[in-house]
Amino acid sequence: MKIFILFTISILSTTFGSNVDSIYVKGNEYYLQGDFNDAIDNYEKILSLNKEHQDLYFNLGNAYFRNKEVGNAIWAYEKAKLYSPRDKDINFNLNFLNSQIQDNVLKPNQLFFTKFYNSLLNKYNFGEFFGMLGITILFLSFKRIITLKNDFLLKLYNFSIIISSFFIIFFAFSLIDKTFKITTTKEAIVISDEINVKSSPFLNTKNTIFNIHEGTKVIIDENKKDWYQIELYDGKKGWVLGSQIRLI
Amino acid sequence: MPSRAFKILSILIFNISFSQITVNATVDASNISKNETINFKVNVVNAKGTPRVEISPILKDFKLISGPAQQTNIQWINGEMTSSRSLSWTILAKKIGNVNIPSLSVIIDDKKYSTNPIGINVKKSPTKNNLANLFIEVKPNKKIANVGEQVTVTYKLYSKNNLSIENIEYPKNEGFWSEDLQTTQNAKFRNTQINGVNYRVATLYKVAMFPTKIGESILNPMTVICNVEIRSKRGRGVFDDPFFNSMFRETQRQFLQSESLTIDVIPFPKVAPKDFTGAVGEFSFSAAVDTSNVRTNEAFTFYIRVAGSGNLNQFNLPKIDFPISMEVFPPSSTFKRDQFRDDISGEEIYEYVIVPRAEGNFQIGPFYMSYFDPNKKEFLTIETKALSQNVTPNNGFVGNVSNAKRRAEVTILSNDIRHIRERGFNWIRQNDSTIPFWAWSTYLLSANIFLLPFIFKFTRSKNVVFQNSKALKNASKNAKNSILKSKDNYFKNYSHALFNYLKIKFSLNTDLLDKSYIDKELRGIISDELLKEIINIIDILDFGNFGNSNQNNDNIDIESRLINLIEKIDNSTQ
Repeated sequence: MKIFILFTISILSTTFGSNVDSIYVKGNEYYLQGDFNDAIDNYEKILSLNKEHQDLYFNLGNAYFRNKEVGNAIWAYEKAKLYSPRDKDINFNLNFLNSQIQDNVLKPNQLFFTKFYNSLLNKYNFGEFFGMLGITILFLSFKRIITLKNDFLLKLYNFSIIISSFFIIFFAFSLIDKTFKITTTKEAIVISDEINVKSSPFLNTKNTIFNIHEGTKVIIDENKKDWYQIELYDGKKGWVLGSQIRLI
Repeated sequence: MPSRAFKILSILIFNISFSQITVNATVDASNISKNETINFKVNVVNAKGTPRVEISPILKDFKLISGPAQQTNIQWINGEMTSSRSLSWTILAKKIGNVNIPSLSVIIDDKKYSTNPIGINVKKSPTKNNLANLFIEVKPNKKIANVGEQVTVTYKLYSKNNLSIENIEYPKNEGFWSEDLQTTQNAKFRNTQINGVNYRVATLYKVAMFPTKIGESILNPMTVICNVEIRSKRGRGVFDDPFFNSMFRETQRQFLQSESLTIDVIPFPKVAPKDFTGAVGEFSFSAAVDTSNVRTNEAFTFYIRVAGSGNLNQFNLPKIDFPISMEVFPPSSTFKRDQFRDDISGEEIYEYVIVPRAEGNFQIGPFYMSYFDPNKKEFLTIETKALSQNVTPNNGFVGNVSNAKRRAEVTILSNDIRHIRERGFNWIRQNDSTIPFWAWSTYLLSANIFLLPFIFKFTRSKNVVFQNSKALKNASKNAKNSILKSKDNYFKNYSHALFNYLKIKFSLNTDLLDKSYIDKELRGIISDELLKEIINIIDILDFGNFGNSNQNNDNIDIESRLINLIEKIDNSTQ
């Protein structure tokens, strides 16, 4: 009986896996034929089946771009970047699209160290930071099993332990920071052509405070029913409808 | 009384308001020689506003030197007021003969008036033979030249009187590439004699001209404005004395124009060679390198020097082909002209930066250049020496460059996104942890390493013997061997072999090998029957070992039973 259940589960999982694969392959075929709408449908279907991968997001971004939906394309590349932050193709396409969007939101000037730290934080994902911390701990753990008799090597090893300790502190801090950012900072991409950003969460012609356009990246501060309070990287704040943006 | 005053005033106003506006044009001289300027004046009487004169019609036959100068004049004659405004220009006739100043339109207060036309008789300017007081002499060193051959033209100013130069307008000539040899704003005069007449002469301009096209090319005239000191025309009087006369001089502004000249540019007498790029003159051609030994991918400099006199700097080098494995960057050239010589001469150095991409011994050159020698009237070809360039391998450089060709930077034609990915991959469940296995394994590994010393300590204290799989495998074989090879003390050896076998087979403690221990340890592990047989054999062996049995007779039976038992144990535990 047990064997039968296991067998059924394995068969189901393989068919489910192959089903997703076939949808993906079909999506790629549609893309190559120039049928970008159907390609998008297929890729989005995979997402609705609770499966994802950086390549899927990458292809979805391409399909959206070819379909002249820059906002959705940027969203897809941003999603892909979460999984593979240093992927050259993803970064190339994302930069290419970002150079085409209408809004130029200037980030406030940062100190050199902050800039360096943030770029490092964006360059590696959570798992990689976790791994780097693990490697440093592993290096330190060798101290328990290695006994060095050579004075020079011993000094070198002791010195490297001090350095590794710093790294441990740095990676641990980065990991906490990254976790904090992942859990608290939500970002979104504008997918409507133009949004009238409101000063308060209701529709009124008089409460429009500024306009933003498709493809602009915003930070989500608060959510009230259909409305999201957004913040631009230069500090401007306002309310937009949830249908106008797509959460990363 | 008031009525009389009113009458006078009204007459006065009437006179002024109804005065006729008259416009007329005058010149200061109507018979002039060429190069003499005329003062042309338009006079407007009784105009209220400023007259505007359309001067452009006269520019066809005259050159405008200066103007307009404005003058206003108001006169009261017999209680009658006359106001006149005049505009005057200094003009110069462009041609000889009867030249007309046409009727010009004058606009005063939106009304149009016309001036009277004036006829001017322009005579040929006096030449040297006529011993003019002031003239410019133009002298080319040749009147017939080939394309690219230098023609040196000298402009000299001759004057009988003292003068100062106000302005020089240098000629601009089409069909020539010209290089100034000497220009003068402050002319230095020296004395000279022409036909016994004393003159002061200064070289105003000297230019080297290189014709660029075949046919007759005209050298445009040079114009000079100068202020000449002339003696005042005064009547005889008490001061009519050479000493005083010298004090009564006045300056006169004079306009001078040189003659136009024609240079006949003739084609080359022979067909030019293929590598002829326009060099005309006398040249030498040489080449050099900064170092003749280089390593691959290290740059060296190759120089080509063209020296001599002629149209240097105006022609390109013929095509120069370097060995194909050498990357050559576009050359830079510097031209050094010899100063203080009328012929354009000097040297032009072309500098090529070359990077050899392959090793070997290369020959650079010889390179050839053809030029036309105007003195010999023929084309000559000169050549550089062939240079040997030794290129040794550069071990510090990684890369296959043996077939390196001349490369250029790739140019982006348009921007687009990168293509989709079609390779297969393992799907990730959404919102799953993204921590990869390698990251986890580092923690597991380091935890193991931390725990390893504890594990060792633990195993040592409990005396846990790790089974040696190889020993286990060979246990029965070794036991059988030692049984069969026993020659004396059979029971002792048999007993030893059996205990060893059981020890390895069931990981038993070496120090406690006796039948009760074995019974305790193996009960439940092997069948009771087998255990009973083991105990039985141990008893027999103990008896044989410590008792007085005939070892020689019993051992064969025990030997076969023992081997049989070991096989049984092996079979039961497999």
